[in-house]
Amino acid sequence: MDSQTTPTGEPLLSVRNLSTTFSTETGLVQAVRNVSWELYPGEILGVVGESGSGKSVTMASIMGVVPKPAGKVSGDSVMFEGRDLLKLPPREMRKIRGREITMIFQDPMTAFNPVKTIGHQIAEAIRVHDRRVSRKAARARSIELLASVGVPSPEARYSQFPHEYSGGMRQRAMIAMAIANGPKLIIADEPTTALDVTIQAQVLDVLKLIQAETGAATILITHDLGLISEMSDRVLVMYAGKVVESSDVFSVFGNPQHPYTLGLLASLPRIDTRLDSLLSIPGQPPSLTSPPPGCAFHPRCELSRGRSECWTAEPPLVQIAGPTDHTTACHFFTEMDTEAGRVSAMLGVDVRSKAES
Amino acid sequence: MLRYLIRRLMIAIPVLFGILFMSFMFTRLLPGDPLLMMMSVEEFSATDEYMEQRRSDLGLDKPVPVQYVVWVGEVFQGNLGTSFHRRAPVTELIWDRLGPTALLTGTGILLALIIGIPIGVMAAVRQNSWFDYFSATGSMLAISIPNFFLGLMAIFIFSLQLRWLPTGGLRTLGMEPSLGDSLKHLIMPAGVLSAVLIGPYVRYTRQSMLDVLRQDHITTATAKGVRGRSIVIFHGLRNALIPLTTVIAIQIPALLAGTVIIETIFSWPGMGQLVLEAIRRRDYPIIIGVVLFSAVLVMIFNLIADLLAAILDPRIRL
Repeated sequence: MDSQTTPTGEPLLSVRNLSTTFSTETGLVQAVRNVSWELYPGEILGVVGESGSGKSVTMASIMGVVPKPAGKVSGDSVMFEGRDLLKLPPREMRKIRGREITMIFQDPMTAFNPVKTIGHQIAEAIRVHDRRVSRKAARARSIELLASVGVPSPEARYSQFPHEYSGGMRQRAMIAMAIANGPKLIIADEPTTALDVTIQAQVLDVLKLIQAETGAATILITHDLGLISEMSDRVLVMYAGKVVESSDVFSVFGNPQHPYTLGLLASLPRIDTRLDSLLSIPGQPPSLTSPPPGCAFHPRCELSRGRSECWTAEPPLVQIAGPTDHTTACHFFTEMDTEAGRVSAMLGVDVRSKAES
Repeated sequence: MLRYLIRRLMIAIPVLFGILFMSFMFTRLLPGDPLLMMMSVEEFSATDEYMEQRRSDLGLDKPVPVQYVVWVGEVFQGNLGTSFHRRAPVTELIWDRLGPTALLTGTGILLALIIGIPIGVMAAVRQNSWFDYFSATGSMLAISIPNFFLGLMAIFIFSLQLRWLPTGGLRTLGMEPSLGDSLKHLIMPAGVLSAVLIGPYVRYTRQSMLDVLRQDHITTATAKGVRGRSIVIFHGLRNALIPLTTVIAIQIPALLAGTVIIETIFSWPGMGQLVLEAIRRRDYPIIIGVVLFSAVLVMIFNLIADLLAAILDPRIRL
């Protein structure tokens, strides 16, 4: 972690009040509710949250790949290098997708077209954006890309089908496809969730290497806190379609300012101490058809016990005084230090990680 | 690929012998003495010695297993026996009728595919749109209307009222055979046949497309910046065709064995007519010949279906 803690300069991507809803038979699902955040050039932004917290949908909304007509994206703006992605005509948006912003998907088993060769699919990503590239040149470039992500004997691998690749190799090929056009932003949606642990580490190494080489800003969506702490510069914690806390990675892990973040940290298995049991966050993630009133986390929150404010008023995302750009959406974040102490005492180990982690 | 082909062929061999055995059993189970059925009126006064002579000439005095072996040998040489009524080799009769039937069903299927697949694709892409509902209603209607009614209506409108097309037959009798004339005769029966087939094709294509369009790799293609139309055709339809091909390939032999009703309505000299006539006259050699023939067709087209699936889907080649 050698980059700056507080990013400066113009953001590469600036999301303003983005909301995404899906109309289903059971009602309107508010998958993303009014989120705003920034991404700076070259940084790795980790996005954490439970399944259904709106991580992936936020990214799909930015990319304009939310399934229609069920999904509806609204909001003020998603500015990417001076262009508002929400207002861009489909033709222009298509030029950005796969060239300036690319995605790495969770499941490499299903993310490739099963009836086309891997090579063909990488070459397609190149040729779709530049028709002047000949088939031969696209092939040569694809082989080069496969080699760069560590796929052995890329020449032969080029003409193999997805089912002939192992999971790890497929995810490498996926990364090759994502960097084919020199993107400015790579969105990696749980890139290692579907892989074996040993393979996970390899793929992460490739991802880190590629990120360092290309300097592309990266959004890393995951529910693996270890992965976030290892990879990212800044962290965005999402809950029930909202951003509940954001800061640089050290502040979020070392000084959590939202009870949900604390809950996530407390539920992590630890290697340094022997624990009798892990803490879990009580209850279930809320229904996004009718999210709880006030703070969406209040039914599961220790801090909110007996406090009417938590279910009557929605806490705004506020800036915490201090040297870093740390925001949280909790009415009682000032009590977080004592709360973190209480939880740590219960577990017998400090859940807050040291800054040098 | 070659190994796959060989394996499929090996599986086909026992099936073929099963078919042969069952067909032979049917000939043995037929009521009456085959010799009596073959005899002409003049021979009815024949003596017992003469009958025995003929019986041994025909090999009917040999044990049944031997007869089976002999019969299989004959079948492999293309001899399916002689029609009682027409006094002509069954193979020849089937062969003569196969052409017109193949022409009719081929055109009908092609027409149904050309119309049905694009409609199914559109219906899937615009799921729950007015187009989707309209095509669903249309195909339900097409499936529900009996083809004899559709055929008669077509004859009534296009032949009797508008006088655009002939009522039936393969070509105008007494006229020099010409492409235009043949097409004129073909258009109505093929159209009616395709009307029956379009409905299922639309539904299969729509469902198959919906399944594919929901898959992750479609999102990948979109995220790559591929155009919507290219996604639907190169990523969507290309995958959706795999199950569709199997459905169609398996359907073809059933149609070739005789679209009895349509052939009858349009006096089309095809397999359906041959079978119908044979049944009416109890012409067993023809019936058994056609049964054997269609069973073999089913086998061949299943093989073709498997082959097509393997060509379209690289995962099967393993």
